[in-house]
This record gives sequence, C-alpha cells and structure tokens, in this order.
Amino acid sequence: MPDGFAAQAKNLVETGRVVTPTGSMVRKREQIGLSKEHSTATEDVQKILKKTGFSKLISSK
Amino acid sequence: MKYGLYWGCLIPARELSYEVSVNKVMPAFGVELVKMEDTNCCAPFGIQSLDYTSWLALAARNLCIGEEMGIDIMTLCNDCYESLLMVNTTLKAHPEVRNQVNEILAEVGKEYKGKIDVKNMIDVLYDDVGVKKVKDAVENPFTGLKVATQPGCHLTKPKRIHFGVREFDALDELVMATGADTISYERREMCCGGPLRGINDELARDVARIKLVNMKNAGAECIVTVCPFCFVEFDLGQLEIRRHFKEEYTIPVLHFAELLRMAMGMKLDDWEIKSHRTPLAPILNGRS
Repeated sequence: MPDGFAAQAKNLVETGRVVTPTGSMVRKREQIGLSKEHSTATEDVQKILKKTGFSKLISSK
Repeated sequence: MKYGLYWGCLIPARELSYEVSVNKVMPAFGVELVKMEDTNCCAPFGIQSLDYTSWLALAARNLCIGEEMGIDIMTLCNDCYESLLMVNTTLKAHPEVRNQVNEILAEVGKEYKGKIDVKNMIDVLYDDVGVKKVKDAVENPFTGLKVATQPGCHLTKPKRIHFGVREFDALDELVMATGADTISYERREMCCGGPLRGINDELARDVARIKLVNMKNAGAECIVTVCPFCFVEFDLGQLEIRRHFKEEYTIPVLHFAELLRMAMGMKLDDWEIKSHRTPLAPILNGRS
C-alpha cells in the first residue's frame, strides 16, 4: 500500500477524517471567528469501518 | 435556494480563506447554506481504491444526513463532489448495492433512501444563480486579467456521470463574468498531479510542472481553481518546482470563490493574502 494511502487510511480510522487541522490552524480558526473545528462522527466511522473489515485491513499493513 | 453545505476535510483544516469566501459570497446570491453537522470524510479516491464497500458506506452516511435535513447537498471540494455524486448515482441505480450499504449503515442507525441530489458550488452558481446575476454583482471587475482555469478532474469527470450535468466551460464562463479573460492552454483537462502525492512525489511534481509550463506559455497571469487539492499543488507546488527545476514560476493562484469575492468589491484580509504561498500582489491592484 502506498505510504500516502496508508496515512490517509490511518487518519480516517482514528479521527473520521483523512485530513485534520493542526493546533495552530484550530487557533487561527478561532482568531478569525470560525468554529473551532467542524464536528465529525468519529464513532460512526469506526463502527462502519469495523463492519466492512477496513480497520482490520489497515491494521494488518 | 437552500443547500446542506458539506465542507469536507481539507478546506476547514488548511484553506480558511476559501471557507471565509464561500460564507461571504454565496448568501449574496440568495443561496442559503445550512451546515451539515456530524459528517465524516467523503471518502476520497484513495479510500475507494483500498476498499470499495467502505467508500460506498462512508459517502452514503453523509448522503443520509442530507436526506434527514430534506435538502440537496452542495460540495466545495472536487474529491468530496466525486465521492458523494458517484455514490449517490450508484446507489440510486443499483438497488442490490443500496441494500448491501444499508445493512452496513444500520450499524449506525442510518438508512439511505435516494431522495436528494449532490451539486458542486459551480453547479449552484451556474445553474441556479446564473451567469448574468453573477456578472451583475461584480463591482470591481478584473478587466483584462488573463486567467488559466483549472477545473480539476472531478468537476467534469468521469464523463459518463457528468455528461448532461454541466457544460465543461461553466467555470470559464463564471470567471469571465468577473471581467477576467480566460485563456486556452495545452492539456487543460489534465490532472494537477496532486493525487500522486505520497505515492510518487517525483511524478506528481512533473505533472504539475507540465501544466505550469503550458499555463505560463499561454500567458497566464493567474490560476483559478475550485479544487482545494489543485490549489495546493499549484500554490505551494510552484515553490517546490522553482527550487527543483531552477525555473521561474510566480503565477498567483486563487480559489474561484476568492476571485468572485474580490470582484464583488469585498477585500481579502491580510492573513488571507499571506496564506497564499505564491504572492498575490501582482493581481490585487488595491483589493487588499
């Protein structure tokens, strides 16, 4: 599996997103009046990926 | 005009000027954007290639949220657009696949019903608002600015899905509504190279360079895109390509929402201008 895809997949399983904001970006969002972060259904993503076998596929790599 | 706004991952995490510009521009055309809460990753083509069923189920979960809101979805990112549009099209056309996906979604208390459509911001501006209204809203036109448009792969492809959805040149027409001139350049339809990042960085850089050479040779003074991945590839990418190939590229890169916002007379804040890695100074002309 290419490193780029592996990193995306790991982020997805752990956070529900493939790209997550850095700490400095979260602070910047607050500074300019945007919501701190956009809400993510991480638990639902983990349940779906467990059901499809994706989590197992990734952890075996 | 009311849409469920699906932000995706990359824009809120990296491209805040795009987020701010959409929030300022779209309501000015009477487009009400209702933020979709508790969404998940779209999931992009990388996830699709790893496991097709997971891709279907994750995108379908987002579609379910739109269905629960009772409104169509508007996307901003080409990858998000591709995933949500393709999965929506697939699940509507193939009941057996829909049943399989719904068995998975039952784990999280969701059911896909196929009741809504998915649009890109360009669809909404081109089809719902209309080019004339966009043109009428322009107060500070970019008269004569030579723009190379980069629609990105998934605004127009695969054509079996997009055929009949929109004219390929919708983005160009909208750019011209701001007073700018769009230029033709070789291999305009070609990928920016971004999807190859993390897989073959050298090839990604070569692909981006080919596009930049063609844009530069055609006289581009600005690159305008709607895709956050294309944006990174050309904005940040120009620095890397300059360094690696010892060639000079200084073409400012804008999201279409930023271009339209400035054309409508709204200025970019200082932090937004600085967030662009390739300086915007040559095209601002008093707009900051």
